Amino acid sequence: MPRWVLADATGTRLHFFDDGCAVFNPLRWETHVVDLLVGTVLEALGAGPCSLQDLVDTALEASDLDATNAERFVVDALAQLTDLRLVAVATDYAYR
Amino acid sequence: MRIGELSAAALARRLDASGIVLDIGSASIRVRSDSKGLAAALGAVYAEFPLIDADAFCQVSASVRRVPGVRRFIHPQVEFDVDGNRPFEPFPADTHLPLLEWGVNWTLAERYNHCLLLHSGVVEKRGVGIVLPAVPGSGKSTLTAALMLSGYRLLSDEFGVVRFEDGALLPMLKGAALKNASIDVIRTRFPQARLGPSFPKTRKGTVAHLAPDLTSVERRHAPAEPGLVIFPLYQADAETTLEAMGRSQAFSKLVVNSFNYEVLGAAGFEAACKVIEACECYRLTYSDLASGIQTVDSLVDTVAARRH
Repeated sequence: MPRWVLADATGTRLHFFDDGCAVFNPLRWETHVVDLLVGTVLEALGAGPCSLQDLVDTALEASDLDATNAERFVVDALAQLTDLRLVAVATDYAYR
Repeated sequence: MRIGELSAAALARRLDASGIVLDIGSASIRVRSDSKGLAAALGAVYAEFPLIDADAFCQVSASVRRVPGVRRFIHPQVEFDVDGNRPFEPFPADTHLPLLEWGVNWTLAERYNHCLLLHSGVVEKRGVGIVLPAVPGSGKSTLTAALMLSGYRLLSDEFGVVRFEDGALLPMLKGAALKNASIDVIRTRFPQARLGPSFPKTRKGTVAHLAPDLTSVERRHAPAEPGLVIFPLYQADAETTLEAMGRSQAFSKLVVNSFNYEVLGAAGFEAACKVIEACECYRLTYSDLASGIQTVDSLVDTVAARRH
C-alpha cells in the first residue's frame, strides 16, 4: 500500500490561522491558503509517511465527516496536493 | 542641527559638494544634486531630519543632476543616478523631488531583501502598529498622512518593513507622496500640514510631499509592534464601512501587496505569518476622511485596551 509524504519535508512551511492554513511550497516557491482540514492532512504528512488510511483517520478525528466522506476528502486533497507538488508517494520520493 | 535650519543656499551648496545623508530609520540615503530647486524642496520636506555628515555609512548613494548639453537650454532635464547606475530616463528638470523619491523607493524595493517589504502605509498609536496595505489609487497615502496629522506616529507611507526575527515593523520614514485631489484634501483639513512644493504634470499627475512630523522623525529608529492590518479603500460617496477579515484571507491579500515576497521564500512567508498572527484584520471603505480616522481611532482603542 503506498505511503504519502511531503515532497519537501524540510522546506515546507505550514501556518494555521483561525480560518485557514497557509502553506509555503519550497519546490515551486509558491504560497497557498488551504482549508484547515487540508492543513491537518499536511501536518500529519509532515510528521512522517502516512498511508491513505492513516490520513482518513486523521481527517475523521479532526472533522465531522463520516468514513466515506473522509476518504473521498483525503483522496481529493492528495490529488490536488500532488498537482501542486506539495506531496508525493513515498516510493517515488525515495527515488528522487 | 536639522536640515530645516540650513538656508536653501547652504543646503544647495552641500548637496552639490559632498551631499547630505537622510537617515530614514531603517536605511540611510546619501543625496547629491546640482538642482537648486531640489535643495529647496528637500529642505521643506525633510526639515525635521538631522543634518548628518556626508561620509556616514549609507545603503544607497543617489544623485539627481541636470542633464548637460545644448538641450538643457530648451528642455532642461534631470537624471537619477544610484551607485553609478541610471535606471530611468531623465525627467523634466522641474520634477526633481518626485524623481528622487521614486528613484530611491525603486532602489529600496530592489535591494531591501533582509526584511519583508510590504506596499503599505504604517503608523502607530498607543503602542499599536497599524499596517495599511493597498494597491495604488486606494487612498493609502492620504489616510496615512491624515492619521499622522491626527496624532499617529508615521513610520512610512509606502513601505511596511517587517523584520524577519520577530515581525516588528521598522520605520522607513520619507515624505508622504500625496497626489492630485488628496493634496487639497489634506491642506484644507489640516492647515498645520507642512507640504513641500507641488509638482504638476508628473506621470502620476500633481504630486506634493508631506513632511514627517518631529515625533515621527525622532522615533525613526524605534520599531512598532503590529496590532492592526487595515486594507483601506477610498470610494467616492461611499459610506464608511469596516469589515472584519479572516486571517488567512488577510494573509493572502497582504503578501500580494509586497515588493519582495516572491524572492524571499520561507523567510518572507514566516514574516508575513507573524504580522497577521499579531493583528486583527479589517477592510475599511471610506469617502469621508474624518469618519475613516474615527474608525481607525476606535480600533486602536479596542486593541490597546485588550493588550493592557
